Amino acid sequence: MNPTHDDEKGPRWLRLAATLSAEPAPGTMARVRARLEQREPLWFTWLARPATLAVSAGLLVASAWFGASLLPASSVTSTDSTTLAGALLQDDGSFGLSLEESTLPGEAGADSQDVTP
Amino acid sequence: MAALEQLHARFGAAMATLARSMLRDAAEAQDVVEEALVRAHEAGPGFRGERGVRTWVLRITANLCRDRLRRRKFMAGSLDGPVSLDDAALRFDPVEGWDDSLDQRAMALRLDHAIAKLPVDQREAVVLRHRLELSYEDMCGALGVPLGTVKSRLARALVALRAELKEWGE
Repeated sequence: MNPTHDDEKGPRWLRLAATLSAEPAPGTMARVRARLEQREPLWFTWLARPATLAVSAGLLVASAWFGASLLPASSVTSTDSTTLAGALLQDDGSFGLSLEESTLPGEAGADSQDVTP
Repeated sequence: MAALEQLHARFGAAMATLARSMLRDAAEAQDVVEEALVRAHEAGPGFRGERGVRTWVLRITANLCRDRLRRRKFMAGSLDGPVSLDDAALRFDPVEGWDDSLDQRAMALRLDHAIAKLPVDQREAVVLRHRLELSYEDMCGALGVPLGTVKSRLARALVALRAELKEWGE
């Protein structure tokens, strides 16, 4: 049988459905008050929701990924050699001292004079 | 808290009737009513009053009933608990002008049993429409479904009820 919306009103006996009703038990409000007192704070309940936990975990992963992507980028792009590590890594063997003068011919140090026989 | 007491006074019976009709267990229905009042109290500040307070509390109650029924499915609970009018929490208000030769009480119980056999969505629709006498618009609000869905659920429920109670005719 294919139900149609013509059945909206229904048969006469359907009025009997409204003859039965229920009442809340006595002391309902006292129990409701007790439940409210025992209840965890709303913010705690909100934080414990699966959706909130999932969003928190997602934010944690996203921020970790973002942080990781920033760190190597900063070390690669830095061309500043004024730091100690930078100076040592880019050192040409002079350890920051100018060797240009001492490498001029005929101007060797005192301990490296020409020995004449 | 005064607002909650007023809520209980005005709509407690409708909430209890819905919970009792859906769950068919006095203790569980009472538990649902209490939980629904607690949730209404907590959600009170967010109430926008689009469909009225009655629709709103019935929606909370209906959602809680559905949760219980879903849980019951996993625990293989029965939906056919015996109904007796001797139960103090149940009230019987006879229809005026009913044929005296017909036992109204017995018929009401038989109809109640037939409603209990309906699938949850159809049972919900019949209880809201024919037991609590909600308008279609309020039913949409209480069930959170469009008008077409409400009407088709009711139509299917009526087909099933007519088949179950076919000796009663129209």
